[in-house]
Amino acid sequence: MNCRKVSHSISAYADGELPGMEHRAVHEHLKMCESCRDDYEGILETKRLFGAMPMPSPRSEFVQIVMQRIREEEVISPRHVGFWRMLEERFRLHPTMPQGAIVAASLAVFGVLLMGQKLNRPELTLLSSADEALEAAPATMVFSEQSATSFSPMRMLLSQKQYTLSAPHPPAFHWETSRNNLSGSFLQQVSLGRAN
Amino acid sequence: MDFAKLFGVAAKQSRREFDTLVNRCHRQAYNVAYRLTGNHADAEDLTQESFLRAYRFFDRYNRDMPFENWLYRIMSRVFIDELRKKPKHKSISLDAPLSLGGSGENEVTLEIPDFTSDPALMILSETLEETLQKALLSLPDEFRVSVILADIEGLSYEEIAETMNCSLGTVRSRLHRGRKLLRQRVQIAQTKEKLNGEGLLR
Ligand SMILES: [Zn+2]
Repeated sequence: MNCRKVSHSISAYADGELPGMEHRAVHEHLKMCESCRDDYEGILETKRLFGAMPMPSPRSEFVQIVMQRIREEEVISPRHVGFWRMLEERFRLHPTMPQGAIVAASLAVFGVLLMGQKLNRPELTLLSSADEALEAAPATMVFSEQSATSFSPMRMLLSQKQYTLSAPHPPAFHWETSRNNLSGSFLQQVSLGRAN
Repeated sequence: MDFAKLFGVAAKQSRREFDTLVNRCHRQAYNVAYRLTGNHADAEDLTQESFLRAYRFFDRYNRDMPFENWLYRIMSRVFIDELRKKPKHKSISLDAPLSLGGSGENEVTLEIPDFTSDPALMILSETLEETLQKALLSLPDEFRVSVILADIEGLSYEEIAETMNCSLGTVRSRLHRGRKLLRQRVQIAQTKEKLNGEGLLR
């Protein structure tokens, strides 16, 4: 093994992540090459330094805040179970119906429904959070058809594969989010920015 | 079948399970978020958002994977995606021109204190911690996530690959390059500090 090759493997060597053969080869090289040995020491020191960084503490009420936001998000779903089941059945009855039309219709109905019920929860973002969730979901999270046990309308929407179709958002959906406990932070800026 | 009731019970159950997980993991998650963002406000946002999304997709969580790792996967996606859309923050110029009589990274010769000889020294000085955090923030996002997961959270390459949805080879090269950059930046910062102390730099 030459120095060039070793230099590329040295970090993985320090982590004990090299396959046996390669590990031994690097090991042998280090015995006789001072420059690579220096490199190796450097990697070890860097690992040690960053590993020694202290752990900052979140606010003491942090867990409470998270769970509160989760409960808030769920408040919408039980109320609309009937609606979503109706939507599902509708979907099954008319498999040939243009999907864009279904999306548009269901979004509109849902929007009207929300407005009609005066759902007074400005801290909740409906479409925009579905948006974000979808985008933030790792590629391996595939949205499947099965959905009857999902909790939120958002998930149902997603799992029916309707969300992925592009339909213009009815204006009812553009009411905005203002997260009560977060100010000036990047996530908020992003979600506000997208709705415009 | 009482759909609504079933719904409510299931929701309550999964909320309870999730509550336990939040309690168990939030410190660790916050730590990662803090090292990724470098400040408390963004760290809190990032952690909250990650938990929220984890909850939204909780029915897709594969229990074979430690929950923490799954959460980091979500967090790294939120972090990389959202931060990219944000206007670039001021770049920290740890690597501002500083002539030390050489061009290669190995020319900088200031030594990082050897902690192995004295474990008590493992408590980092505030300045050093700041230097390290700045060095982290100067890394490209993917490198930063990799280094934090490996060196601060102690994840294996396989776990990091799973978390970041990339190959083992990619993890290897990100860590390799990330650490090289970190070492370089820390050394430069410390050299500057030293020269500063001697009144050679303003
Ligand atoms: Zn060598």
